[in-house]
Amino acid sequence: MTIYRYDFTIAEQEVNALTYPMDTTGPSHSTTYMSDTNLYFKQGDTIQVRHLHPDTTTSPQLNINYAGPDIHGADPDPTVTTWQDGNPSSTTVSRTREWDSSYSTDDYTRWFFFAPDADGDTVYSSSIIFRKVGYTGFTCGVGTATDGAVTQGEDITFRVATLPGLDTWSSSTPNADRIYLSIRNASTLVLMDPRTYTSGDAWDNSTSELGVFTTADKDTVLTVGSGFPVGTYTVYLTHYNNATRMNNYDTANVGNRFHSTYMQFGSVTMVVSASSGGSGPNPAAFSFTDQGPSGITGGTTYASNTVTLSGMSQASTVTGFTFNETFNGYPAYQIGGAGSWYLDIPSTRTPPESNIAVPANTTIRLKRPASNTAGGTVTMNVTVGTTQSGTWSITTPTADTEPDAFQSQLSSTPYSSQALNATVTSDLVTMAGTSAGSSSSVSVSGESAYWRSRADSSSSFTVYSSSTGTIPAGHQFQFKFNASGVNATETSATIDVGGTTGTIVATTVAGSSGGGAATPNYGLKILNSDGTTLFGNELRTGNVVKYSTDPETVGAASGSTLGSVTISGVEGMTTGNSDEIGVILTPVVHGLLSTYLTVVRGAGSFSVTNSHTDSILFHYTVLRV
Amino acid sequence: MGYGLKVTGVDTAGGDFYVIDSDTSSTESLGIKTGGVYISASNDNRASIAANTAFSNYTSASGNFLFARSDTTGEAWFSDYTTKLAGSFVVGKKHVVSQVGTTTNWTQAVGTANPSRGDVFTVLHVGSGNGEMMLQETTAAQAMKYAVLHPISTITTNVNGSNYGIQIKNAASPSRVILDSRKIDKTIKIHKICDKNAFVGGKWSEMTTAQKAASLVWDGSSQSTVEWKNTYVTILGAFNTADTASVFRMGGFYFDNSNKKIYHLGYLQVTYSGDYTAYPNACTILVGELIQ
Repeated sequence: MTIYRYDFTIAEQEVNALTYPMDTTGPSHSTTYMSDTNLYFKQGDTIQVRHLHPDTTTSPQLNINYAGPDIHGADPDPTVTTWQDGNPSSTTVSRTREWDSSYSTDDYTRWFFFAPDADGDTVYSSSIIFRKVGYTGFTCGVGTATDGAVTQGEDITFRVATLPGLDTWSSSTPNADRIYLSIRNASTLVLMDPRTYTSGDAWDNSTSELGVFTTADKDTVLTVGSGFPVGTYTVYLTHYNNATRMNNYDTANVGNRFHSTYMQFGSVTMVVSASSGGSGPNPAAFSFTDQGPSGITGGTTYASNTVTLSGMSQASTVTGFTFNETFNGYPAYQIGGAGSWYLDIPSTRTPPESNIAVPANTTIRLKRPASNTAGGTVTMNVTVGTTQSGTWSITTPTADTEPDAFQSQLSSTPYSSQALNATVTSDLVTMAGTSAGSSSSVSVSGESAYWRSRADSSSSFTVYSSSTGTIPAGHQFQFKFNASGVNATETSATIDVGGTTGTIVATTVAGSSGGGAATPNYGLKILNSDGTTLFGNELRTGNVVKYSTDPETVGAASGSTLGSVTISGVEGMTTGNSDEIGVILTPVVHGLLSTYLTVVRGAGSFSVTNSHTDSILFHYTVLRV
Repeated sequence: MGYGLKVTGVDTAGGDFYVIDSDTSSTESLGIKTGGVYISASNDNRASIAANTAFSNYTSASGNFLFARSDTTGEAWFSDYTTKLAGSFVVGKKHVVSQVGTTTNWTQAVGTANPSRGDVFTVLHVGSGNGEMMLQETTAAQAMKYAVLHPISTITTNVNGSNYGIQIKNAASPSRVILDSRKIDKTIKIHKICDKNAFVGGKWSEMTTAQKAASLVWDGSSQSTVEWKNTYVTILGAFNTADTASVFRMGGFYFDNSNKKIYHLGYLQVTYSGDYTAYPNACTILVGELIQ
């Protein structure tokens, strides 16, 4: 916080009915800037006075007294209220008060002083008026907006709701009792003079570089010239500074009395954007066409489209050139179709991006290498005059690790009549649709599920694995799992390759047909002499439907064509009633040949197929239960 | 035909099952040709054979069913053929001539034009090599209890009275008796029918707990001793051979009399390496209980 000291010589004015004249002997004091105030300050500052007695010849030195009682707003008092030396040294503070939080709601005080002459008559008196200033509701925006955004060439209005503590403005003292608005670059804090970019005054109520608020004018309009640099700014509120000295400096050092940073007590952000129209050395808004990810190869240098600048009435220069990262090669820009590419090589150009002439309304384009990272994006832009281009980007494609659907390659599923716990192995799948050089994650799920892969048919498979892994683009893979350990149960296994899944399904053989016979209390039964039921509707015994007396012959398999023979006249048989009618085959030579024989059910018939390369003699019995 | 007798049973799941229908023309019930029931240790009427003896009254043709069991806990292996050396007389047996000697020197059978139907013949010539003839008869490597079922129309002996009862004929022309109460005084109650490849099989001494569980044909733990001792499995399509190079057995069983469980066995094992492959059941298996 700031310490303001106000030095004055007490006036020759006899105290009469508490008439203490306001001091007007301050260093810069006049009614020009403060009509009825000796010192403006802000919350948290410290106010001080050093008072002097005009009679310096009387010995001992005459003192100056503080009036004491809280009259006419004399609160808070200085920390010392007893009499003090009327001729202190130049560094001595007579009275002081820090305006701490105890006084946050108090914005005014007045200190009264009186002093005697050599005869002891009180003929000297003065008072000092201090006002603490503050604000509420400080905003800015175009029109009624409060977002702080403004485009070159537009007007932006700054508003404040209240200015507590500021003395009432009077037309008789139009330059007094003002709050000033100063514009500073948000990053460099350099004070901006908006008049530089306008043909006349920039503020609607000020001819200087500073805007003004008063109690009578709490909104002020700034014209942002078309050349006003694009960027972000902070606009501060400051009060007038009438201090003799500041911050205990023993020499006068008050700086600028209107916009010094010491007096800042409020701020808003103003963002100036490029005008789309352009003017003077500043082209109209321009941008380049983003590229990628289609057709982009990481690391390869790409040039933008060529843009013709417009709206310029005079030549300009490149004033900015930014980019997000550097790869093998450097970002560059080119002015004019046949101009040189200006590379951003910091070691050889200082500064690399500036002072490059840009003829009015010429062409410009950019170039730089694409990111080497899959999915990475590089960006850059160039600023001509005050117009910054749109950000140009080049995006490297994301690696495609999601293969095309491959379920159709699993053509053998579903697998029916699998033995209990049998290992079921999928068809071989050739992965397609992923980026060259990429690898896709793989995982399998299912009972004892494993996967493996190989590069191609001439390569060896990897070892079967149940863990997650990766499969390179274009490789082949397959997976396997164990069928259920329970009869007539369907289970499945799924492989997930880069988010694309394939599933195979296996159903185990039916373990048994029907269920045990119930014991109904109706129907027909035949008992033996013991009363045991030997036949009836409560007993599943068994019937023979058809059987061979001479061996049947099923021919040999030839290539992929199975041998086959059809047995007809099988009453009751359908393709779906295997739980009721079964076929038992017994090869004539020996049981081993059963492994080659398969029953294919039909309606009223069945066929026996043979996968052996020799014909097989067999007997059959058709059972119905 | 539309008249006669039709009986439909109902199972424990509420489903229907076929019992008999006189409107059929070929389906007939089965009767016990060979076999009796176990009543008690001192009253055991079951049919028995010694090890390596052919089952009586059974042929894989003609609608026969062979059920067997063992009261001895352990493996049981079966073979559906036996071999006969040159010069053997084979009477009343169906047989198959397998390759013997060299390809130019085959076994010759005398006495029938069709050796697959041989009734009486002599193996005349088996060449100069180790000639043999495969005779189709089913044997067990262990002593077994068994029962043989034949179609009822082929059973001639009355066992349940002779001049009373019920006889049902079918719709064939001429009609055939498909149920005759005089021919049945006992029967096989079918508990379970197991399809081909229903059990993983294996060699009992090499099988894991999971493999055994996947080879459990019948769990009779809830059965009484009488019910258990009258419970059989069919042994169709069995195969059992062993030489110095390998052991190949299919269609075998492990009878666990302590826990009243029956497991399917089947495997090929290379002798010199011990490499071992399980074989599932290649033929349908029926589980039935002989009751009287």
